[in-house]
Amino acid sequence: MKTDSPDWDRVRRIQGGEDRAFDDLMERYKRPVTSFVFRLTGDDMGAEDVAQDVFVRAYRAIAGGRVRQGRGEFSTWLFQIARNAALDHLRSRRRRPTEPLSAGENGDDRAAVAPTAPEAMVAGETGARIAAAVAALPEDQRAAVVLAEYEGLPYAAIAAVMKTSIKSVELRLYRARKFLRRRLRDLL
Amino acid sequence: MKKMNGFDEEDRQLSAVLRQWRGRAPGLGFEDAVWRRLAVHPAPASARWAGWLPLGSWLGLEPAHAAAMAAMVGILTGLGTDALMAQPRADPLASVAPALNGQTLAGAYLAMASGVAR
Repeated sequence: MKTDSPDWDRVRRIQGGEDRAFDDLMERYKRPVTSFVFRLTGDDMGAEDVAQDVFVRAYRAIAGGRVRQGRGEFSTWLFQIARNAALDHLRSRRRRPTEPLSAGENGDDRAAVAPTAPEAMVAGETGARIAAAVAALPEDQRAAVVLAEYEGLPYAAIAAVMKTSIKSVELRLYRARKFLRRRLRDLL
Repeated sequence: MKKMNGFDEEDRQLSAVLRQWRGRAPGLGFEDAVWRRLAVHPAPASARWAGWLPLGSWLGLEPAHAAAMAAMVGILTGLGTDALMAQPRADPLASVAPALNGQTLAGAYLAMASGVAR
């Protein structure tokens, strides 16, 4: 996500009727959006459904002319939609019986080699512990941690996604990291 | 107390641990599923007007402002047209009343009916 101007070019092409440009946007962002939603909701089964809903909302906003360049980076706008969709999902899930947090596919995203069975088991346990620790954070701290630690967004972009100040993001991350260090101290 | 915006060795260690929780990869056919959803529930009718939005963009307006501007132009055009086309309606009785003698019954009645001051 170095530069967003190609994304805004795609947005203009979609508004001009070129739907293929939306496939390019989905190809680029489906993985970060799905991971972000999964980590925010802790819902392994529901994450993909919510991520698809994010792109449905995005397409409607683009085709409806409710978005255009000048409102910041495209990725920031998309993560705002993703956060709102994830919060909607959490609210609706609260009305239904809750499911435990899933550790998902554990291990580093960038790992080139698949783990062996014992390694996967250990990584699974570790992932479950991390998932539980992150899930125990208040939503605003959780979103800040996920955007900073997993999506690599700078503080200014996190502030834009969360519609808050950079100072507030710093405070949320400070509190979240303090909590997580305490919860996961035996892993550090 | 540690600086809030500082990123020290403890934070680096924490980041390394946190990255062991892997994200969820989207499944095959993700794009197709999104297109299917869009086909079932197509974009709202406002999308039909999206073709006019580049004009607003050209004028340096936000989409919402461009829509409001278009509505305002429409209203002002309508009001202007109405004002131009409206003709003052001549009251036939008013034109006759001064010619009649106000002292007669018919003259007084006509003056009263046409609103001419007695």
